[in-house]
Amino acid sequence: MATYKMKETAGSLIGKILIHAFLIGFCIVILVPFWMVIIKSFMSDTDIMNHPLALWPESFQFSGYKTIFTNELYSFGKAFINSVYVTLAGTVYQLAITTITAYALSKKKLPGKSIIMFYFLFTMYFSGGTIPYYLVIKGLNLTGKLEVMYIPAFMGMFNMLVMRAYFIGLPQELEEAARIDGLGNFGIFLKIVLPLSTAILATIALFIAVGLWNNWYTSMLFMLPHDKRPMAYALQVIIEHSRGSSGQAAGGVTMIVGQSIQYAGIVVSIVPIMCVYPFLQKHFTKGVLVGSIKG
Amino acid sequence: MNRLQKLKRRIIEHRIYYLMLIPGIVLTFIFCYVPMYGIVLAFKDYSIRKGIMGSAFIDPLFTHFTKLFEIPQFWVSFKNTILHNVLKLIFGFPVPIIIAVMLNLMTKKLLRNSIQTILYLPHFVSWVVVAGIVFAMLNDGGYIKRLFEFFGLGDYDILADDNGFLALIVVTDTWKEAGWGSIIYFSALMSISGEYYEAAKVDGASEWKMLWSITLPLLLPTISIMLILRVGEMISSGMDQIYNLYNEQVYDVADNLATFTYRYGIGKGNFEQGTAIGLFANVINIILLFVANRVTKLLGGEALY
Repeated sequence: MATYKMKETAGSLIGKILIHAFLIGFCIVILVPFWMVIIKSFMSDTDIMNHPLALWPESFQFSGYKTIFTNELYSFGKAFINSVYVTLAGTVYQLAITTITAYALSKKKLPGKSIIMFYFLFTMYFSGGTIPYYLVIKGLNLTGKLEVMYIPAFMGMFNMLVMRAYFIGLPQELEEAARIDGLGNFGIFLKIVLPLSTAILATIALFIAVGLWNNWYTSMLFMLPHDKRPMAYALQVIIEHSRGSSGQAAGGVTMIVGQSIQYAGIVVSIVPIMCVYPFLQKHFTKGVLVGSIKG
Repeated sequence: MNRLQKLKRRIIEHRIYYLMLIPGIVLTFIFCYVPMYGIVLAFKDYSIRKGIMGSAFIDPLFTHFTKLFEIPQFWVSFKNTILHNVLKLIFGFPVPIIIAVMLNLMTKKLLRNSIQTILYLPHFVSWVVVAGIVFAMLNDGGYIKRLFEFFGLGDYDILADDNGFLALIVVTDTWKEAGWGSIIYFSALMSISGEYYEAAKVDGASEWKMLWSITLPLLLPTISIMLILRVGEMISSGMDQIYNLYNEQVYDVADNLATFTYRYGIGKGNFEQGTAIGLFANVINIILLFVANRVTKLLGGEALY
């Protein structure tokens, strides 16, 4: 439609070359750092010092990975399990709430809809701030518990709006036909709408999961004890102390962290995302497309 | 009478939807609206024993604010928050647009899709990882360190240099988010009818002319809305990136409201003043939003309200 073919004049050819050079160059700048970290995670610290620009390890060393998972100080194994729990439970929880809220709000004739929408949207522009939020969580006795990582994160407004736009875009005839067949409102939702929405559900689920998996601030803010930390926070501690400087308000532990350990930590924390990402990429471009046009 | 009865009937017909809204409404109340009440903390003499409700209002009311405004680092962090966002707006905001336009001009779909897949990648990784990668590149042996050494800047520690750090913030933010940000513009470009370009070509327009006269004007509504949204999150953003990259030596330019609130408000236990910062930031945020909305309307773009 809009990708029109360019005339092959000299000007256009130069333009085409420049565009490709820029975009491919950008891609290289994105990939090379990741590649470097991945490669170096398979090298020992001495190897890294001796071959700093290596593009492929001389021999695969796993000392970084071994230390991370076995050493008590890092407890990556427990952190990994914590993160998996939080991500799985949190994604199901947040997806469910986002979906039913979005669906209900997509019904044009719902009485009081604008008031309810305002009630939700207002929170996007005004909030109590970190400290009152902290005090509320404390009052609910959630500080120090792993559940604090996902229970307060019940729904993202942006995600809800995107999903709502999708539901609005579904043809009316579908609902009317289902009603003739005898389905009630909830039946329509369960048996017609949900099966049709797998793409958008997968997209939003991915967004939610990534957010939960990468979240470290919540665990730092609510001072989760060592064995209840998610991986993102365990990694954050490692990276922060690799610099030798500590800005942590809650008091830091001084430890010098070897490079291979840092890189191993980084790789472990991005592997799950990298595995799922390529498969779902198709879906979420469409999902954001729908949300942006209708929203 | 009839209208009321109709309304009642509609409500009963829609009852399942109200049921579906209950979790969202209740949880929003607990985690969004109850903390809003906590804002009164900025006006109280907080005692942990008495809690927020039980603590007395402080006299004079704005004591915490005046004390806060006397702290130089507060203004430094406020200045920095604005500085970071302005820099990112000037240097970073156009990049997703440029990327989208370029992608739109690519005809080979397979190559374009592959490039897009790679471009979106950094968005899915956390700032902790990005900071780790940045440090790795700046270590002895990292590619960027080598680059600096090549130019004779071997001793330059960009993480400790004020201007260098600012550049680093903008560059890493662009690196991380420009690709993902291009999706919205790309989808807007996709919806531009090819007929405009066909007609322009018939009239003999050059590529550049088509870009300026067709593509950019039609992209303007999307750009306006994205700009407004961007301004709307100016004040509150920046904990993740800054906290992971900064250090004491660059507090002067790096410390922003979010990191300052964390260190001073939470770390040092100044709950009342920390809340005051939050309220201050919120008010500024709303003002910025209205201003941005107004300005875009005046300039002819679209607005959110």
